[in-house]
Parts: sequence; C-alpha cells; structure tokens
Amino acid sequence: MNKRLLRGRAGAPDNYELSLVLMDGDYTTPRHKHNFDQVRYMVEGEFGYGRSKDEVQQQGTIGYFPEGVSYEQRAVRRSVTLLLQGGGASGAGFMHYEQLEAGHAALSKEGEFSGGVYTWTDKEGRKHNKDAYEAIWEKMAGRPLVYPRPRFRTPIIADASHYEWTPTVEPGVEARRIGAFAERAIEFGFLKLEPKATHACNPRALYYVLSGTGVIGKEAYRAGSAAAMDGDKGLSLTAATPTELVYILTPQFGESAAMLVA
Amino acid sequence: MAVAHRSNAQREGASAHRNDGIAFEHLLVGEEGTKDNFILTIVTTEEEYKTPRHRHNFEQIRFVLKGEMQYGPDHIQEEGTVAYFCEGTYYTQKGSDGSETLLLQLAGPSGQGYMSQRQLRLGAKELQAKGSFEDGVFSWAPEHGGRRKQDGYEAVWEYVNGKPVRYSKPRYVFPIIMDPASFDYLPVRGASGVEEKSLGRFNERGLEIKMMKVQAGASFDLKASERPLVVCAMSGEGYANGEPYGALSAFRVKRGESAGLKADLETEFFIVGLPTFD
Repeated sequence: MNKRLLRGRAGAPDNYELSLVLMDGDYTTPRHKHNFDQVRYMVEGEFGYGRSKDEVQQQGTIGYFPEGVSYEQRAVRRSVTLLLQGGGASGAGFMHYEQLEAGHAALSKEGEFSGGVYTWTDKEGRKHNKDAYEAIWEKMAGRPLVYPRPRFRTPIIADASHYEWTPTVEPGVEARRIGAFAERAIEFGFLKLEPKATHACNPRALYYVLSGTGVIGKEAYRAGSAAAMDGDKGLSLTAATPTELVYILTPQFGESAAMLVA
Repeated sequence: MAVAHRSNAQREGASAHRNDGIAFEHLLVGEEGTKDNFILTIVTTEEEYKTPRHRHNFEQIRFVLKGEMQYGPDHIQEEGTVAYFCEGTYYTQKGSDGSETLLLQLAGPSGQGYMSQRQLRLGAKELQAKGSFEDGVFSWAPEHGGRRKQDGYEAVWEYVNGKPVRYSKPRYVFPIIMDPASFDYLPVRGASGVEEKSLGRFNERGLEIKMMKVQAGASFDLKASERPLVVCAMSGEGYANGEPYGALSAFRVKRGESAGLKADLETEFFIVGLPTFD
C-alpha cells in the first residue's frame, strides 16, 4: 500500500514521487531494474532486496537503488519505507502513477496484463510478451525503453547511525551527510535542529520530518510531514522543538515548480 | 607540486605482516601523523597472495588497472572498475597473477589517520622480536603463558600507536563498486575541451571521487578549493604546472592551491578529493 506524499512535474527529467510504502509479510517481486532512481529510508521494519541473507535493508538505514541496477523485493515482516522514485542521471525521467494508469488503460484495449507481463497479438497474428512496466513506459514515451548501464554494482546501503553528526554553518543545525551519487549528484542525508535553529532550504531539497515541530516556509510541520522546494529559493525551516529530518537533493537538471507541503 | 611517475616510483615487496605475492610501487605519500595522511600505490599481486578476513581503521579506493581483484569468496572487482572500501568493512583478499591496481589508502572520517608505510614496516620488523607473522596473522607467547594471535596489521598498528585499535562501524554495508565507463561525462562550465564525471561524494567528511577528461590542446586550472586532491593521469600526455606527465603519473594539489593542466594528448584523470576535518 502506498501513501503518496509529494510529486514533481510530469515530463521533467527530475520528476519524482515521494511515498510511504507499507509492505507486509508476503510481498515479493522478481529480480528487475528500473530506468529511474530510488532512495529508500526504512522508517519501520526491514526488507530483503536480493537473494543473499545479507541483502536485507535494516530499520534506520537509507539505501540508494540506482537506475539500471537489478534488485528484487522480499518482505521480511511488516515494514514502512520512505520511498523516493525519481529521474536518474540518464535523463529518462520518471513516469507518474496517473501516466502508468493511463498507459495501462490504453494498452488493455490492445492486449492483456497478467503476472507483471503484458501480452498482445500483432497484425500478423504473432503473440508478444513484455514486462508490464516496460510496455506502459514505451506506450507513454513513444520510444523503446533503454535501460542505463549500471553505474554501481549493487544498491548502496548506508547505516546512518554509524555516521557522526557534524556541525554546519548554521547555528544549532547538524548534518549526517550520507553521500552524493553519480554525475547528476543525487544526494541525501539527515539534519538535526535545536529549537529556534533555522536552516536555509536547498532549492533541490525534499524533506521528510522524522521528529519535532516547527515551520517550513509559512506552513507548520510535525513528524510525518514532507516538503518539496521544487526550485524555490529563499525558503527556510525553523524548529520549534528538537527536530530530525531526512533530506534528499534531487539530481541537478534545472528549474521546476512551486513548493508543496503534504 | 611535484609530478611522480611510475618509472621512478619507490618499489617494495610485502611488509612482514603479510604474505609474499604482492609488490608495491609508491607514487605519492602524504604527511605521516596527519589526520588526512594517504599513500597512492600501484599494487601488483600474484596468485599466491592472500589475506585473512580483516578490516581497517582507514579507507581504500581501488582502481583495477589490469586483471581482477578478489575481495571475498564470491566477490570480484573487474578491470576498469573503481571500488570504495570504507573504514570498518570486512574483506579478504586473494591475488591473481599479474593483477595491477591503483590503490589509494587514506584516513577515514573517524579521524584516526593512516599509519605510514615507514611506520608499518618498521613496526612489523620490531614486532618480530616478540613473535612471528604467518599468513597475515601475528602470534606470540604472552608473559603469563599461552599463545595469542592477532591480525598482522592490527598488531603492528597497536604496537606503533601504543593503544588498542578502534574500528568504526562501516558507514556503507558493502564495498561500493563503480564502473566509470557507465557514467557520462558532462561539460565543465567555462572550460572549453574539459569534461568531468562525478562518481560520488561519500561520508560526512566528503571524500570525493571523479574523473576528468581534457582534450588534446586544452588547458585547465584544476583548483583544490574545498579539499586536497590526489590526481592520477590514467592516459594521455601533457604538463601539470609545467612538469610533464604521462599515463600513471600522479600529483597532489594541496587545499587552496591549483594545478595548471595542459594536455598534449587527450588525457583522462582520476581525481580523489580527500576528507577534511575542520
């Protein structure tokens, strides 16, 4: 089950969707890859992303699942994941769920979906099978889907608790910078604010509040709030109570739309 | 700034704390005892080289130049790939004949620095008066009796530093393997004939790994504004601050300084921005 928090601009190379994903004990996917990036922060519980017993993303860790890198999903037990899906460095962008649904509806008139596979018969009477997401993407984009070559061998999982909080130039604000990846520099980490501390928001930032209260832009936030700057400059976040949040800087592709608070 | 070349690099075999089957050509060294000390080396291994499963209190970046490097029973790093082994990560190493790796060993974000090769080799030699190294493990007989064993590097580090080694918990769960050929070059603004691709920036101290391509005839002022840079030419020819470079020449740009690059032949540079601790 997905709870959609924020979304970017359809068709933009840095388009994204930020969601909370609830996974229960029997959810699995085959091994697959995407032509977009994912960042996964395990809010509660854990989930398996590969065949080995070591490939389990634990609670509190944050993972970068780059475009073109294969993985699978295997629910270990009930889990809640903060999931960013967004355009990767290749510039292939990210297809919104509405586009996915529209493509599904259009393709259903010409064939059928079953078990994650789309099957259709061409004019010569030949039957074709294709991965369902790939078929919809190609329908909506009007061109073949080309997966980027994997830049990284595997998903990158970081244990935030093993990083030091380091001071920033902003009084009362500390950061755990996890990393920035690939040539478009998708970046993520954590911020911690003391009461009354103010953070100047990055125009590329998405924020998800793990704890605390305060104001971002002109709107109040609390645990579970999310905000996207979408290119706006000059916005700030001020804590009323001790605050900890996840930040994600989307890849650098240029301008985008107005600020949203979910 | 001095340009170092493979042809006149200092050559050494294995230190006493590890097995034979490994050779080192040291290109660049940092400053012993500093928080951001480092060493840039070309490492050649043979089939017989192996280490026990171990971890470090410093970091490693490995660019496999030739052959492959095995870092676990099912884990191979292929030619042309770059790996980042963060401090605290367990691995084993198994050599393969003729494998060559450009290896940067450097201080990690925990701030424990990096023990120099001079300290390592002297420490290992002196420790042999107390016990012996075999297959990468140091064993000795304590005064109160019995027999003790310890990873060879760990034993030397504790001997040299006079305190127990403290390992950081690994920030990244597994070594990060990157394939530079899959990253795209992007133009560097305001620099004609110069492109770069960032592979990544890691941890809270900002270790940065990137590649830069300078076309034949192009010039570029490479600035170390935010962090010191360790630079190795992977191909090409030209000049760095007036000194000639070729493939596998290396130089260091200290923080706040710059290197004037002029490529005679198209050049690809491998660049690592060292962590900062201020």
